[in-house]
Amino acid sequence: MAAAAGVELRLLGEWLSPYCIRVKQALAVKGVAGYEYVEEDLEHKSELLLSSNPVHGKVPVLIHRGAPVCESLVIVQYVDEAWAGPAILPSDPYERSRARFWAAYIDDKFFPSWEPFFKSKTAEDRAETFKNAIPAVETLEKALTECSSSEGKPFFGGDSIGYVDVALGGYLAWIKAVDEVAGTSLFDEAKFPRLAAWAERFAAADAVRDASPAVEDIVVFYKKMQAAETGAEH
Amino acid sequence: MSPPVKLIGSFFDSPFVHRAEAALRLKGVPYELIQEDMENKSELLLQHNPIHKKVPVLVHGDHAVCESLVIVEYVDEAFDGPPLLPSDPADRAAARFWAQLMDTKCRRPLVLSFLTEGELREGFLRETKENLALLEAQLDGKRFFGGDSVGYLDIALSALSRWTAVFEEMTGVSLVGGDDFPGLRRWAEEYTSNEAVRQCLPSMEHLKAQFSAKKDKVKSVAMGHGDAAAGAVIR
Repeated sequence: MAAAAGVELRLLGEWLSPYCIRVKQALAVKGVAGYEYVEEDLEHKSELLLSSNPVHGKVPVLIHRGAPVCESLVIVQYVDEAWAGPAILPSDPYERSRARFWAAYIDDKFFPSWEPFFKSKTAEDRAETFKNAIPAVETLEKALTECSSSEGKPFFGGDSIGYVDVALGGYLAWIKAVDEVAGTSLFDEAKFPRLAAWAERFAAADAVRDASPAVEDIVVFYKKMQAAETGAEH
Repeated sequence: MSPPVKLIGSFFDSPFVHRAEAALRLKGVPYELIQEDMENKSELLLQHNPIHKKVPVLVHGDHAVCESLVIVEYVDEAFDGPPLLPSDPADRAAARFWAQLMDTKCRRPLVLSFLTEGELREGFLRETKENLALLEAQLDGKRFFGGDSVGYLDIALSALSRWTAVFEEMTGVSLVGGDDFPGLRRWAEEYTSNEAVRQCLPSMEHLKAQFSAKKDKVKSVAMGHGDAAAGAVIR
């Protein structure tokens, strides 16, 4: 087996993957540093990746003392439980259930409703798919209002970045990149003031800045991706 | 003193509702079961699960908890009683990983193995057997996935017990009940014999009647909408 002896913590990832980004954000929030990050080429997956995640063969995979942990939200909970540091999930059982509910909503409802917009190429498609992405955003605006309470706390996690923040946060750089290319604003300040403020505060947080790719780099990649697909169609 | 617990379930014996009931019974938490008519959803359900409008929903005082596996973790954390999740973080991560696999990867081909025929069925059966082999390996000769006692992952995989047995009997297809997965077969017997679990397990006869009545609907949703569908229709 390929795991190098003496490497306490290793993260197998791909710089563009929202799921990898959210794990990096979680590690940073928890204050876990000094891990080895391995950038995987998903067209040529490493032996280590395939043997660490035999079921899915996907990133992210966190390998801690030789033992792999797979599935991004499972990894985030593991990070929260295996290390001391700022809590990612709240301590109250009901608050924890709300955090789990919203993280699942983000992956199961919000992202699939945004994905067609991300994939669209014509102005017509973009207009249609953008409109279809809005109801889930409305729900997230309400969720943030519920989570941050009447005191207007900055994050879904309250005063500090938490589970739901990194769940949504993994997608944020992508959301901004696509908005830039399409000329749209998903978390529009006028329509979704709390989400717009959240996006700004989240992106500015130290833990997040270091863990997230630059929006400009994703813009470059996204434009290439769209051009390549259009070319292939002709 | 803790406020009373209500569980909103349905007349259709959903394995998702069972997960919530099993967790409550194993933890030793008394609850009132409210049977919801999913064709005619009540104010109570819509009020407590406005986003998904599905069961199960656990109502604990003025707290509503939705999504079956979220409910199981909530029950484990909010009440005293035998632990449902293991204590070691790596074991907890493994339990959550396999539970998620059941819902995102195993459920649909499992259901469709029974509801389709011919070549289509062969494909779903192959996929299901691959999944069952993974679970057999994960069980690794233990009595339960949780070790000596029923835990979170056993509850998460409970559809592989009674519900799968019913499908197998109705269709003649042999999966968990056959010889290929002796560990899982024994596990299913152990799970369905457990004292607490037995009290919230629908009978074979009851399930057979339910499936016969709903077969076409279950199939069309499972075929049409992908992974969530096979679960959604019996939620």
